[in-house]
Amino acid sequence: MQTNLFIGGVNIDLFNDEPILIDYSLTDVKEPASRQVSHTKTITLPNTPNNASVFKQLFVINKDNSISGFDPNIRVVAFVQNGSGNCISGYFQLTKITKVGTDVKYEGVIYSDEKNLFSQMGDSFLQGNPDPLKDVDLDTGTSALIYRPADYQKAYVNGFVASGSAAELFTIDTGTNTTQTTAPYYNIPFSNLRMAMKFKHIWDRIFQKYNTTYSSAFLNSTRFKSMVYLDTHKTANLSKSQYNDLYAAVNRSTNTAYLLSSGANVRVVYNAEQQDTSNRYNTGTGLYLCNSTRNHTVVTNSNVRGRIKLNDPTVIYAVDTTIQVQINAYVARNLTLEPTTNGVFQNIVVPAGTYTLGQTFEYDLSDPIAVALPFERTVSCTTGDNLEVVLQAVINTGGAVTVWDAEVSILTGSTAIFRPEANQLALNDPYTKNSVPAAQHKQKDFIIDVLRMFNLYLLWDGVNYIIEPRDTFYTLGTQLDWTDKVDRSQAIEIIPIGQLNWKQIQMLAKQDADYYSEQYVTNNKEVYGQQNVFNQNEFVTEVKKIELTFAPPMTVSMQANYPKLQHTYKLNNGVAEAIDGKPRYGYWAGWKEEGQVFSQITGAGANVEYDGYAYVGEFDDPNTPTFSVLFGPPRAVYYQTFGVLGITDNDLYSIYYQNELMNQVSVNAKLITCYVYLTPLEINNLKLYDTVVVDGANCIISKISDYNTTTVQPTQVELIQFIQ
Amino acid sequence: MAITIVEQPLTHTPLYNDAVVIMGSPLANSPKFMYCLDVTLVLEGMSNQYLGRLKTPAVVDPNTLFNRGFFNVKELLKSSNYFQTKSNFIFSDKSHPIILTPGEEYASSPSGVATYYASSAIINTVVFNGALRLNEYIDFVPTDLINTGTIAASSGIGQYLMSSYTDSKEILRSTLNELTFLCNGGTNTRALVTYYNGNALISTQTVALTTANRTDVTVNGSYNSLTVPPTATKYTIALERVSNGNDLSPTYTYNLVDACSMYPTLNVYFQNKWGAYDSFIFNLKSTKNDSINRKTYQKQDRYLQTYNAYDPAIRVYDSEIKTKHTLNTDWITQEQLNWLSELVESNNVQFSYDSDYGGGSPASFEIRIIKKINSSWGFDADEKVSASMSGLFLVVDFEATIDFPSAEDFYDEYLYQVLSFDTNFSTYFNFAATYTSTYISIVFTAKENGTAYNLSSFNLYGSEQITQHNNVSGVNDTATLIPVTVDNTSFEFKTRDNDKLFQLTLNVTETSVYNRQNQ
Repeated sequence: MQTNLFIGGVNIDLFNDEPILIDYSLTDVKEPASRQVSHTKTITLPNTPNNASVFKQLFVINKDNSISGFDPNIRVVAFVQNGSGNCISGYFQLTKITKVGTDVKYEGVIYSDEKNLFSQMGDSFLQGNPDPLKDVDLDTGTSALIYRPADYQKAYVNGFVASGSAAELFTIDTGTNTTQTTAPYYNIPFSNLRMAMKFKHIWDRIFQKYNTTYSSAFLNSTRFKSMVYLDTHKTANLSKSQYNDLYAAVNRSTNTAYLLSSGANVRVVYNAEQQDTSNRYNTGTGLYLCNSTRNHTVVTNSNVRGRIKLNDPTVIYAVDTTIQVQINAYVARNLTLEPTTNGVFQNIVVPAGTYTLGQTFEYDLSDPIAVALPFERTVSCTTGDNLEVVLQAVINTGGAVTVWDAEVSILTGSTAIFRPEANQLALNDPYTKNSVPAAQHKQKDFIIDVLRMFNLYLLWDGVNYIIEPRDTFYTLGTQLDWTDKVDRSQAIEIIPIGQLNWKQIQMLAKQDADYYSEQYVTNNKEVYGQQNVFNQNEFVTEVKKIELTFAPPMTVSMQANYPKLQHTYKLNNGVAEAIDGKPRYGYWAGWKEEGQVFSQITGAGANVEYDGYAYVGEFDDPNTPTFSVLFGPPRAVYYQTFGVLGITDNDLYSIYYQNELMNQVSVNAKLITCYVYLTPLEINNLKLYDTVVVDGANCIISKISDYNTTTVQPTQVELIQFIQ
Repeated sequence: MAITIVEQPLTHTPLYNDAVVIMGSPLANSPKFMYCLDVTLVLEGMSNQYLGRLKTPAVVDPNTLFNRGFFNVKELLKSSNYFQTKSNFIFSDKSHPIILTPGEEYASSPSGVATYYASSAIINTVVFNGALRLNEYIDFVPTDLINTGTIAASSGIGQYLMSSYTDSKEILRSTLNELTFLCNGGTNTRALVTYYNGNALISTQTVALTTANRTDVTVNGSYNSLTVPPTATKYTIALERVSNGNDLSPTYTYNLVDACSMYPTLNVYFQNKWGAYDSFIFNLKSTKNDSINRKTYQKQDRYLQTYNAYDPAIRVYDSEIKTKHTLNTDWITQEQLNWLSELVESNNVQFSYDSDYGGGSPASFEIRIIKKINSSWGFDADEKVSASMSGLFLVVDFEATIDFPSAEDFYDEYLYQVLSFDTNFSTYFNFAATYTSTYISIVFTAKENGTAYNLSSFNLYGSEQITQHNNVSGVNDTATLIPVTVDNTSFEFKTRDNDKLFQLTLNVTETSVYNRQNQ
């Protein structure tokens, strides 16, 4: 059979006696929730001139491949044809070159996932990569959220899921919410407003980043659009670029001339900038212009040199006379000095003699400590304020103060930094979506977690990823009768699946470090919402885990009439202390009203009172839940309700995993390994969501091993009997 | 900076042998110093192809203790696809000019960035698709193949056949006979073919060659591409200068033989050590042996009485048929035997059956001669017919004649006599006449199949009693080339002691695989 391998559009020369073998699979039956990509076994290629030209003679090790060379680090589109079309298409990874004498061989593998999403993502984080180009852009092209209580309201909350908005505001408790006995009973500082961002938005932005598309009914469903990523940072933060927009680092690259002070203000004008992304600092005027209402901190380290200048017609000293110049540094807001300062004293010796008007004496720089003038000051500013560094030089001692003027020169190397006091959002700041992901949350972990939550199956169909929950996935294909295609001259192995699998599967999210999460684990010895699935098989013992990197949503309220919120603090000697929580997800259930509930947002932006709240948690409704985004029902909940709370078991396990796992432990479920005669056309047309019938048993395809593109022969196929 | 070239390839160098460049530089101790060598292949008459830059640090030459850069461009060149003869790649050829550009890169300080500087000293060489044994390579000088003296491009250049066997050689009419030479890209070269019957000269033919911008040229000396007189028993081929007819190569002789063996006669073709193609006749017993490998799978046994259909449980899903041949030469000389060792070593071997040669057709044309003005048969005045054909000039002069009583008399007594004995048309064409009431039709049919007998021009001079009709082009005979691999462990020599001749037996396997219908 004619096999053709194309790499980068070139028909590659193949060895006659080394076939290309392909493994097709989506999952490993022994590893529930694992996902695999179809791929070839290692392909060995001869060093024919044709092949060597494709790989640009990479085997010549002293050839500079940065010039018109082959870059093995970059994916090259590749596909294999088996005489009847493409039997695998994806990308080629060159893994090795072997030289024995003059005999050179190339080795590599083709992976079926042409876009190679996971490989492209690597270990990149959603945000905060050392190389910012690896970040997922969550903001561009979206409507900006403004950090203000006015944007937290019922209409926005209820319309969020159906809308095209990527994110919405909700409230949490970082340990700073307070209660009182009169209405409104519950106070939420406006700084506890947080963003919830749709999973779908993040998912789509990742796919967009890697130029990849998908087809999925589930990922476009209301349920998935209700899944949100919660900002659980201690504070709602500026993004790095927002912070940089407010940050200016400036310095003096030359000494200034001596500027007359004698107690008057001398503005320090820094003439060079190390960093000033948004030109907040003016190197001509020496002013920093604030563009938001927040505390700003100015950190300055001035190198100063004082001088005295005679302002009297004549002065006569009979002996050497020491005159001290005091130089103070200030921060000024709108030309008004802030009250605190720091100063240095410089002694200038005037030798005995007669001096006339205008004569000067400089400080001799003998004491560096008297030259450096460090100073830091935090100032409350509003938009439009100007900040500056100001020096004052005065004659401090010497007796003849009135005849000398004090002057000061700002020396090269003097620096100043103007920045926000904290990384925290201020009222009316744009609340960027890029600031939401937790630190070091990997892109691939986000994708894998979503796959694991909903037991999603992926299949690359050459154009799109087909992505659906397992039960839906197997409704996409057609049913094929392979009864007559099974080679009866070779062994057919039938193994009860329950025997090769697991005794227990623990399905759980990551434990968070907040007080209530730890309390739950301490009391229950498992993570909130954990599901333990048992296999009744008496011959297996292995315990396996399906674990998320996300922490589970965990709703807390001390009284029934308090809003049911996510709490992200721990207790330090009984005092609440905000923590940066782990990545936490939740279900956006909309605005929940209860007649007795009264709460208010306090602080900047005016007090706003509410009779409801945005519920983002583990259930579709905190009082009468019918659906849970936990794997299993929690053993206890940490919030109060007015009525009796019935915990639903309509959770991730029962909806998305139960059929698959029960299929595995069923007494009727078998793993059938046999050899099936598949023609090239059949293998090319086969989709791994197709189901097959063999000897009256309905099966799904677990794996096709070592499909040989070079010769037509029965191929080993692993089937799972499909009970449910 | 001044790079010194210590060693460089010869003006012409075989591809599969070392092509070494050694260079030195006074800056070799500079920070981050690397010797560089850019390799560029010139597509003759077209663009240059940059193959890459080799780099090496300076190493101490143990012979001189100088810091040298050692390069061998063999692997880079040999693995480029520009030297695959008989491949589908349009730019592959038997030779190409190569430009080697030395260079160096270094930094001004250990922490600095290295900068590349090219040398103005360029190395030019022509690399041909040869593979020589070490002793042959040591002995090789480019003048073995080509006159490397500086000769104006318009004046041609002396050349030698790229073959180890240059004695007279037997060929069949079915033999593809290629003669490949290195050349210098001039435009003043053509091939001269001289035909003999025994030692008696019959005629000559010139073959135009495209040599402009080329470093090699191949003359198709096959029977079906030349205009070989039917009586020829041998022909010679040599290159000559177009402008003055001076020889530019030795003369190579080919004896035409018939496949008169009781066994199937074969032409075997192989790429020789110089990179060109040679041919040889195997005319003794040849055997053919098919090995068949069938693969089956077994369906479940399920008989459906309703349909009473035979549904075999065991089915052949694949079969593979490999064909092996054993080929034998006639008695050959020791010199031929030595040459044919290149056949045994060659990785590009093909053969064709002489009996398979065919499928062509002869060229033909017709002339019609009408009556005289007085309505009698004959010519009123002198008539002349001339034609050009593959570099040959054919001509017949008819003179004014008496009146003949009939067309048949005119043809038998005059036309046939002139055409048969006084012209060279009859050398290459058979002719026969038919008659109508108004004209005599003489149809000329080439004595051999092929395009070599197509008329490239036809001219008539005289009183216009003659017209030409139905010019039909000939089609070349061809034979299917079967690629094979030689099993070099099973060839053997047989010696006939009394006259020191040998016989070569060759076991080969067809590289194509044959599949039959599956069940």
